Amino acid sequence: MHASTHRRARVAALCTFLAMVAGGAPVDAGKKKKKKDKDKDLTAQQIVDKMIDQDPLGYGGAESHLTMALVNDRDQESKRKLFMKSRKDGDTRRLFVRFQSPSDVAGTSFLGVDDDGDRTQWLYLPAVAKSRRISGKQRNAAFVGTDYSYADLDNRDIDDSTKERLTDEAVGKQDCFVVEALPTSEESAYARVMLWIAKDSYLPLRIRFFDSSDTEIKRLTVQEVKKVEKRWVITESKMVDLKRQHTTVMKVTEIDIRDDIPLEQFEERALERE
Amino acid sequence: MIRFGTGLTIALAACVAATASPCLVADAEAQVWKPKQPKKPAKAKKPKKKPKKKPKPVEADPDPVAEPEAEPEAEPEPEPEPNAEPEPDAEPEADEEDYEEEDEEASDDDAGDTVRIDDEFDDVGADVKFSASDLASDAADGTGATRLETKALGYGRLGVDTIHDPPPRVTDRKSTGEDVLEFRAHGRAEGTSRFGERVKVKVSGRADAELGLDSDTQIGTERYEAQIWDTYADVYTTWLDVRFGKQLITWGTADLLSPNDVVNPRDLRRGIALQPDELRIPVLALSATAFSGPLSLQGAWIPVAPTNRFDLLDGDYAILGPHAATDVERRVGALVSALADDPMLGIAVSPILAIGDDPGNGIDTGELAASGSITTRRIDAHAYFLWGHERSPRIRIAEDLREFLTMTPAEMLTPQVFAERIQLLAMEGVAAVRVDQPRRVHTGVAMATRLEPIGIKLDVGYTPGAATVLVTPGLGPVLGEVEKLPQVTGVVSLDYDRGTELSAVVEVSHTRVLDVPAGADVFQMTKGDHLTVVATQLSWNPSGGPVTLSGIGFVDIDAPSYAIRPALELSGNDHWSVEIAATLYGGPAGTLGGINTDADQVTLTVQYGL
Repeated sequence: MHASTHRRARVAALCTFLAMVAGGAPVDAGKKKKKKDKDKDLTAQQIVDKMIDQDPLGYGGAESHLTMALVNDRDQESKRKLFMKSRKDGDTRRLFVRFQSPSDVAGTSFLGVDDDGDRTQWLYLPAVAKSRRISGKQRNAAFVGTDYSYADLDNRDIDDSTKERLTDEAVGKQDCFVVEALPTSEESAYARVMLWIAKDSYLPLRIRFFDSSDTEIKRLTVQEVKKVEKRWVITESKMVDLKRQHTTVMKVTEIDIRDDIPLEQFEERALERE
Repeated sequence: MIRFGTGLTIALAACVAATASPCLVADAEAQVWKPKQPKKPAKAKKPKKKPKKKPKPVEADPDPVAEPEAEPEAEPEPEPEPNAEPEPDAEPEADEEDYEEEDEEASDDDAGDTVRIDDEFDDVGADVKFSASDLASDAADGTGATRLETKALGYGRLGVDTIHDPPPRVTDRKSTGEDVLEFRAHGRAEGTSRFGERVKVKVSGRADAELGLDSDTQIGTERYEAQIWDTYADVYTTWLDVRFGKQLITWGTADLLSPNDVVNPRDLRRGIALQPDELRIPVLALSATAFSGPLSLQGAWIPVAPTNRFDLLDGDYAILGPHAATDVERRVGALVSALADDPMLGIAVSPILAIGDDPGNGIDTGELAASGSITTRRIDAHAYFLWGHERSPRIRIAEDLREFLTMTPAEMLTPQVFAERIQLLAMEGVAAVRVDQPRRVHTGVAMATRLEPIGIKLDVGYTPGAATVLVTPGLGPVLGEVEKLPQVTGVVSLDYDRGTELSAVVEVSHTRVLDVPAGADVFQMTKGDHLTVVATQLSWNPSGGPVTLSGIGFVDIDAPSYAIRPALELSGNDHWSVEIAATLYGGPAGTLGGINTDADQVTLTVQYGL
């Protein structure tokens, strides 16, 4: 046998060994099969629960900095920078957002608390130096000029819905569960929401929002996901308001997974601290 | 009286967000934006494995990732190659082989697996490219150690007033306020430093340069001013927030007319038809707020009693200026203006000229403030108490001087006669004018709730002894008398929001002064002892487009009189905006809007910010 052939064989054997030690090919294949079987049994509710548990924004316990681009139907573009932090305690999720630039929105801060479906949101406007509650149908309004509504931020219309699992599909190369959600809240702006949720990460890679005439009104697509400290997070996404032809692209510029952000930073007083 | 003003405002603003910031994640390279890949045919074949050790993508790289072509959906997953490196942090359930690794080096990194998603449904909306500066973060680090933010803003204003109303009836006058050409440059800067998550320091300042030209008198005016704005240090603990420095303590729930918003003084030099943050002046205070569940208690010590800022003689809103409340005030203003620069007689009017100065309050005349709040799921409720001072000075004219001003025919009331009268009083040991800021105790309650889709706020404030100017009906404050009388004000505020597209606030305020003597009226209250004001604020940005219609207005429905400021703003992009606004006042003399009927103007503002 040629020396180089021996060398290749030794390398292949070593790699196989390493792969096995690391849970490699044979074990991995077994896991894949097991997971695929498990996936088949999941109900729409379980899938959505896992998605929400994962946190669709992917920041259940994190500090992150984002750049946001807003583009209107005349292709006029504006950029915003924002700071976001989140915390998850059991079924209670908290999200804090503060806009850092440009100057017309700088200081505008948002706090959302979702206590197992009991949701409260506040918006702090530096111009009036006061925080204001956001509730009811008001939460269907655009979040600080973006194409996200306040309700989108805490998945009200996905969480409070009847769900049905449809045939799995792929988004790009990613195998996805497909779930149809029919919001039950009378306050919802959507009659139907279709979700494509990655089987591997439970991140929503595509969401389509339909109104009562079954016209698609908004569409969320994900351009980039990233694994940070063992957690997959969405790092670039695009939400399009198809009626207004308005686009919001969000790009995470920095993210730090943290579970130790003090609770008081998610209380109403935190808005005025900023 | 008809007055039409034109204003041209040229604005320049610079806002610099600067932060030194090491990346929070180790894979800094993966944070660089990569151009979106062109769509591939859905059924195109793809290579089984992407090239290894691909050079790091850069902005200009048209194909930085070299993403393989999309494979048919039914195609089985490619088997991992024998020499594939294992995931160091693979999650048990995560099948990361399904994710296309963007970069081998990135995948080696514990923090940096990045996957681009090529979704055929990503064919709507705009394509966005982020520049390196877009992606530069403002954060120093993720642990909240230190974060610096700086911001600067500036704008300029050029205005022309074209009013042609009769000037005050005095021969010597310094400025009529007619046909004023005005330019104003305004700058703001602020910096915030955070030291960990417990300490924050904020420093901010504002600067103004105002140049005006009165075309009637050909006299130019100028004013330069630099002010420290909210500048403070914060210390946060789990249950207590402490702040020391110049700060805004915003009480009350109503946005425009809250009677409980009494801590911060106001800058009244540019009228009242302005946004609240243009009016409030930060106050030097040591404040502490304790939190326990839904309850919070705030206490504040204000070592030096603050005062409202106003112009005495010059400017559209000067209390003794050419547009003062009534003819008497205008005449006195013209007399004082004429005497102010006279080396011999000027000293006689020095007590009047000192009206706008800060009173000599020190530690002994400080103030104490306290508030308590409870926040429930449906209702926020607040209670307030201030042991403070009047924010506007109490001005008391000597009885002799008041009689002199009332009895002397206007044509005989020359600056010299006026000065002689004041000197005569001084020789008799009588102060022509006494100015002070008496104690004022304020109590109040407020609540806020929502009855969908309307936000409802109620504010009630009570002052047992408010300095009240009592006037003979129709006369101005100079000839009035000041008494301390109980005063109560209630406000109902309704708000409706539809995101940033539409915001509307309507408030109704009713103020009633108790124990008003028979035959006297409270200044500005045409009904004698009460005043009802409707205020509104509106902002409408149709379809999130570049045009925003906005307005703020106050209507005294008893008089009736009004002060309104409709505006139309055009936003070019993040940095530039142009606003055209009209500020309109109207109503009987001496009323809320009637005082400033001469101050109507149209302004054009151009603003730039980063």
